[in-house]
Amino acid sequence: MLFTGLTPIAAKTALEEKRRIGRVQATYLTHLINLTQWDKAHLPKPSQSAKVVILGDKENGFTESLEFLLEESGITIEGNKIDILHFANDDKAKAIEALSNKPQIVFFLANSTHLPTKIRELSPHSLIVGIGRKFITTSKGDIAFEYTRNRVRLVISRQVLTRRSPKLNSQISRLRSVVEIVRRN
Amino acid sequence: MIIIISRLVAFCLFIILGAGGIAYSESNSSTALTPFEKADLKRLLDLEISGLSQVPVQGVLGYEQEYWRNPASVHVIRPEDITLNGYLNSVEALRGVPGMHVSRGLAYDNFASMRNFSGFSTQKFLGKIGGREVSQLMLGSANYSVDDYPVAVIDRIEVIRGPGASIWGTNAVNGVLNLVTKHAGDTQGDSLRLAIQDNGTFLGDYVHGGQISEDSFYRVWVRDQEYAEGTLDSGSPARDDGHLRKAGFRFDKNLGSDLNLYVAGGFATRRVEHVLDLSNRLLHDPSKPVSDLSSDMITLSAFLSSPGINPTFINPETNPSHKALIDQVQALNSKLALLNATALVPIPLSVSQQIGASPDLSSLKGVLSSISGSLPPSLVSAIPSLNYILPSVGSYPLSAWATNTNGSVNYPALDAVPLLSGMSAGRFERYGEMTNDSAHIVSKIDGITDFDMEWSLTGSLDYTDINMGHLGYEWEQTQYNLSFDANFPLADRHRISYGVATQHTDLDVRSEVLDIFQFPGEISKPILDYDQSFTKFDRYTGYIQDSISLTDEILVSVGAKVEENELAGFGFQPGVRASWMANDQNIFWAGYAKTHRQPSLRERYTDLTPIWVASWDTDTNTTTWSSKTYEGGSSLDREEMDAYELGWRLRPSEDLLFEISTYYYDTQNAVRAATSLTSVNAYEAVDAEAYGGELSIDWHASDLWRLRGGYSLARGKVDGVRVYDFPENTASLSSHFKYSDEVTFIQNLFYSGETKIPSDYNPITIPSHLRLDLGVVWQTNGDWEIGLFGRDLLESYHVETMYPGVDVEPARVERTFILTLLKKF
Repeated sequence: MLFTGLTPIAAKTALEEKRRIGRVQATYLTHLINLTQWDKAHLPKPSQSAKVVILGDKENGFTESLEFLLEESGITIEGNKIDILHFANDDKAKAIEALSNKPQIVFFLANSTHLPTKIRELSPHSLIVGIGRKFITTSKGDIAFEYTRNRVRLVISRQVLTRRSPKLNSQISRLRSVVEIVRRN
Repeated sequence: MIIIISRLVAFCLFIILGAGGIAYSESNSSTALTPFEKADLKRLLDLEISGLSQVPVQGVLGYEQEYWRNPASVHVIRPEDITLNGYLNSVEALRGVPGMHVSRGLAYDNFASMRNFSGFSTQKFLGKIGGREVSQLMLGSANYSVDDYPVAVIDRIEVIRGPGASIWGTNAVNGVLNLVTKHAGDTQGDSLRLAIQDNGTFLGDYVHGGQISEDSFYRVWVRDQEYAEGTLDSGSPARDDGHLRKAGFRFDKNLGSDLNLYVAGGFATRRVEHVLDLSNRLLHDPSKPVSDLSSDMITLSAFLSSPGINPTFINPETNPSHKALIDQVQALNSKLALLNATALVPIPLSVSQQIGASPDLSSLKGVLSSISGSLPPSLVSAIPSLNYILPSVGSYPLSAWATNTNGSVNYPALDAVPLLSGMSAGRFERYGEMTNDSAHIVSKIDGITDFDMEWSLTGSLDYTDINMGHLGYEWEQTQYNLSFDANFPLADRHRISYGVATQHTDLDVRSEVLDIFQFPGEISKPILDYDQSFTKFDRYTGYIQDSISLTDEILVSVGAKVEENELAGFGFQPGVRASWMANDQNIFWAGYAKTHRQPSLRERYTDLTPIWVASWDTDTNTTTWSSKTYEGGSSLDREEMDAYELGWRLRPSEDLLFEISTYYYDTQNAVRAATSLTSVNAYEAVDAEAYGGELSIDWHASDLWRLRGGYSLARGKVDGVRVYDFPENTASLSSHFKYSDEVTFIQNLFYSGETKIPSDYNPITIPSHLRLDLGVVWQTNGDWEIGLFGRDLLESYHVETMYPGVDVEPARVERTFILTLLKKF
């Protein structure tokens, strides 16, 4: 009875779990901002805000969670206040315009229709973050969150640890038991 | 029962239709964060990346205690709740948990109990510390002071009021206390904590952690606690000084992707003294002496008042001393008649000795002797036999008793005998060394399979040697535990948890006959005498539980535990719990569980001989001593409790949380001490009820100020009669005000209602008391934290509890000042 009558046939993650994934992803990203260094040339002027661009349709509270965490923690990018700009899939033109202003971080929601490779061409010094291991191995992203085995895992491209900017602090590589470091194909 | 249920239903309706309805104006939203989610984000923000990687997305209901939809009454204590409040150990930190009653006995003991009818005992809830169940089979309780850890290695202490979910095993009756230690990788470097009280009590612990390889970590730690001697309520020295020394280690290794191993261990040694109250242990049955003396006095009275008496011998009309003699005889005779007419029970020998040395009798004998020349020879020869016969000096170990005398003690039971009313008994105490040596090792390997099954295999070995020198009782317990736990998703809305466990226990119990109870010519018996037929025990348990996301708003867990053990037989313990997220701010939950508690070995297989009674043997005309033995209750069955709970969690904002929990417990075969002289067994099975609730508030009034408060109502009945061994009302209020980034002011206020401690002869009422603690903590820019705390500032001292039947009087809980120094990792 318990295993038959109450379970929808379609296997989809419950809303509550989706939102928890979003919260954990946003918290990871907040920590990663602290661990990333940009060259001065890749930062806004001191009087301007740094930018995090989020691409894709809102679905699991990630954007709201990140806004809350940034406000709560008071984190900055090299002293610059951080603004979050969200563009749904329908707002492609506005998104391209924002990306041309060289944001410091670009985050691809799972349903984003943008191509990371294209975005990197538009904003080569942004930290490109997305969902799933293939986001790095195939789509050439920098960092990805992967939901597997009931946990949200952090997958990092080796290049982001070795390049000059934006560069992830190498101390994260000491966390090999919880962070997967991969090469882009 | 019906009244209770109707009240709970009414309360539930009030919540749903009243306040719940008001708060329903905001519904779940797919994008906006709820206050619960914001609070969760704040918690996540405190986690390091390694911690984030361990956050489960789909949880097991009843296991993830900080999940706001958890259908249980839960309080989580963090290490900073211990250090910022100036508590020396974890048990002290439980004082601020609504529903828990923490009371201090002697310097080395803080007692924690939960939700009534268990008195001050820790027996009614399950204690898990560092992954091990720490209860002793002998006493059915744990010593949390001995099993405590340095605060630097504690991740959290989960206090689950109520039986909890099916995942917890037997003995999770009134609740579960689960102390979780940190991964060794989270304790890298050095940490030091020192705490010094103005009375000399000292605690110091040092933790060092290091990395062995990329994926393996270790830590080692040592702790020393020195107890300063306190004072008893009467002002006498409490003789409770001593020490506790501990050391331990933990090794963690990542064996592969989602495959982890840890091995931890430690040992502890404690040396303290404890007292045994002997004031009520040596009794005298005065029936025969009183009866004989009374008979002699009647004869004498009849002789003196006889009409045929020769006036040359006794002439009260002409000789005032003869008149006084007759008056004296008649007065004493009426007293003895009154004593004789009372159904006389054995009284303390010390009281009997006072009667025997009565001035009336001595004076009478003196007067009779002085006029013996005027008395007939038959009467003169009777004078020596006018004696209140006490046990002869050689019939009991008088010299051993003489070394244990210490003034007098109230003995209210004598008030029932008119002529003895108001008399005090001699106070006798025997101090003996109480030692506790223990060691343990625990290992756990856990992983996650490709099918999302999370599993763990845990094994532990515990050795404990406890010697109660004051009772002449010692036991060694060696316990082996092995358990397997797992959970996995089923379809998209179920998570199945299951587990099996086995426990084997070996016991070696030894008793010693104390010198005070070595009676010449009598068969010696120790105070506690264990039945040596029962020294090996096996326990097998299993559970299965389904955590179901019935809808996005309703979570349900259904499960059951089964158990087979030699103390309680086979048991089936079903439970169902559910929570309903009515809207973004309100969550309601309810639970039912049937739980069992196995009787302790002390209750079941141990004879208690605490009393010896002297009586006159008319055949041999000598005193004989007979023991009063209360047999172990080998027929005591397991306690079975039906527990009903309702709760409401309201979070109007991420900074404010209200929680209300209510409960009703109906217990069959609850084990209670029964030590009246007519009892056959030391413990008896009774029916007990407990009901009440807790209210707690957690308010971050601003970035600088956090307020937490709690109130608990708890009532208990045993066989329909209210009991007061747990305070019916307790409350706490805690304020942390950050004056600056470095300086925090702390204020804690605790209220505890009156309790009554039962006793064989001298029940003690512990008055209600209010405790105020103030403190200031300076957190330096580095990793150092310095605290100064004043505790119990409102009065110079009060009393909180004592061991009934063992202690003579409670110890003072005195105003103290504490200086703490903490070096964080």
